[in-house]
Amino acid sequence: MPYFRKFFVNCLALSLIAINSHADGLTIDIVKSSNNTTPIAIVPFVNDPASESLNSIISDDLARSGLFVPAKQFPERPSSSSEFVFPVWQVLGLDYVVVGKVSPNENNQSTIQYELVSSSQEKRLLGESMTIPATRWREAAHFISDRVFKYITGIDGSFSTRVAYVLQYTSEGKIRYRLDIADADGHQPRSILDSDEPILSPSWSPDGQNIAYVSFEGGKPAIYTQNLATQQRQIITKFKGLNGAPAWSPDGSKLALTLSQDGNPEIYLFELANKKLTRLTNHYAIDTEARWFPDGRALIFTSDRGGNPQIYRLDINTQDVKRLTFEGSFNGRGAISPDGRYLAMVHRRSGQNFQIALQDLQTGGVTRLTDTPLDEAPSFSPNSQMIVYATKQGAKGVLGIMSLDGRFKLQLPASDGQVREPAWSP
Amino acid sequence: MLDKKVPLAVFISLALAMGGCSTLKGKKAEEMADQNYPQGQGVQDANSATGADTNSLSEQERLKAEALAEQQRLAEQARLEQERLKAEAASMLATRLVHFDYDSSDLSSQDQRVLQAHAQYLKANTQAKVLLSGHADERGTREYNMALGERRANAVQAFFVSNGVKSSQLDTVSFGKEKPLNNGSSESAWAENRRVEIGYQQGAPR
Repeated sequence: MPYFRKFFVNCLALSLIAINSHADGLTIDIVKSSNNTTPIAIVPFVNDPASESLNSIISDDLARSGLFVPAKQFPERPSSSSEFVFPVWQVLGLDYVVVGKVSPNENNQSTIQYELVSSSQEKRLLGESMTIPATRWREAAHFISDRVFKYITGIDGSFSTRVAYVLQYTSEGKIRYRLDIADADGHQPRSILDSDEPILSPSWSPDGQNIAYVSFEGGKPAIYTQNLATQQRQIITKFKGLNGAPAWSPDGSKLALTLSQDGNPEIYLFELANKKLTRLTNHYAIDTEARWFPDGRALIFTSDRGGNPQIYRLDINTQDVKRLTFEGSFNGRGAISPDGRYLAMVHRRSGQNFQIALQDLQTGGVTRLTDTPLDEAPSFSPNSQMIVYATKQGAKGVLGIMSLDGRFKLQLPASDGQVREPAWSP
Repeated sequence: MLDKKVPLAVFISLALAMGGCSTLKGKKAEEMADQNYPQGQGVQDANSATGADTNSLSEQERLKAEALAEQQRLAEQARLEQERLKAEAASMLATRLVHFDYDSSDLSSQDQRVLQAHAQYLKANTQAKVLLSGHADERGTREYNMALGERRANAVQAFFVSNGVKSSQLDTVSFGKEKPLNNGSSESAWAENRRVEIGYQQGAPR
């Protein structure tokens, strides 16, 4: 923090202390930054190895949510609540402090103890201990982030989730494609499909055990599902024409998908148990990119039936179609937030930019969240707090993560190649 | 190849026909000359007759030569025209791309000429097969662009079918925006990428 700001905060904190000491007890108002974010201090855990430290993973997690501002400097480094000198924290307005320590165990395991402490209340709020192998190090950090996040905000954390995405890379002069799954912070990617032909549109099953996607292996597009534990694959559809945009239903029983076997692209439902195929749309325009409402009773999809691509709502039972988007010349690749409140989409108003925009499903108000030229494939975190999307850094395709108000944005660590088509796990 | 044989055949038959006519004409003139001047008359008579005939004969020769030259000139023109058409057809057949405006699957008149050449080729070579692959530029979303690429490939396929090509010779696929020819983000890069590729799977024109 620049010196004058620190001074100001100190003065403010002191003045607050001064006021409150006249009242009963000593209650300190937490100094929040103007963006409604909460300051928090994640102190380096004692005995934590230098690279990939727990406190840095936790700090990055909380910062990425857009709701926290992790402190970069600490007045002291306690390892537990009993070691605190509370006034030095109170004076800085840092109420929430996370501390901990790491102890090595036999069998190459570690025991991690952490505590969430309130310096204003001068007590520990939350604390746990866990014993883990080295391979689950990052998982342990994300677990602590989830716990701290939930305690303070009341919202479930999404830090232990994953993101699937497509990577286009070059090998021996040839272009190849991979479907990878990484942690929600971009780390620890693993590949579940490697192909010499394009891969598109990954979609998670609601239990997180399977992924559906489009693969052009063999030269023509087909829809596959793949089990992430066994890596077993199944062909879902491989009709003449398009086989595209698979979307797993919230109850796990069906896939919405796009087929053009009847002459032009339409939305179909494929029931996984009995392989029954039902056509839902019936229009000569392009109808594609179906996604589900969280109650499973309706879909959104992209259609150019009105002249240019817009997003429509389709009732599963009645097959009634209702237009949802009215601003801009292009609205497509919609996604509904798991809490049902928002529609995220690729949106173009005037000019050339294809941006991520958010439409409030109750008020209809549209907010543009990005201002880069070619953004796509927005996907919500399971707690509806964050959006992952595909964007470009110069000519390179990368993934971005942002808070729902678009104010906090971060690019995920870039792999060698072009990254796109992200899908946030349940 | 059919294209090669036609002009050659035309030329040969024309040449033969014209050669034949000349020969016929020449013979008739000689016969007439013999008939006018009966055999056995005095050598002098024969000589004077030959002298007069020599003049008309030279004239006939000259006319004959001119007619022949004119016919050869016409034959040459026809041959050159055939060569030009053949080269144009070959150039059309060598063109394996047609292009489109933004968000459109309409074919320009130049593209239709190219496709006509391929249609004629496919009708004359029924063992040839093409895969029409449709593509879009990078703007817009991936699955929507898949549908747009398919619309373009279908437009080319429909053009072929309506021009008499058998549908068993045609196949289509869309790659949307997955396989750009030009990775740039300019108007010209986008124009290059909005295309259908005519890919001969077998029986390609040489």
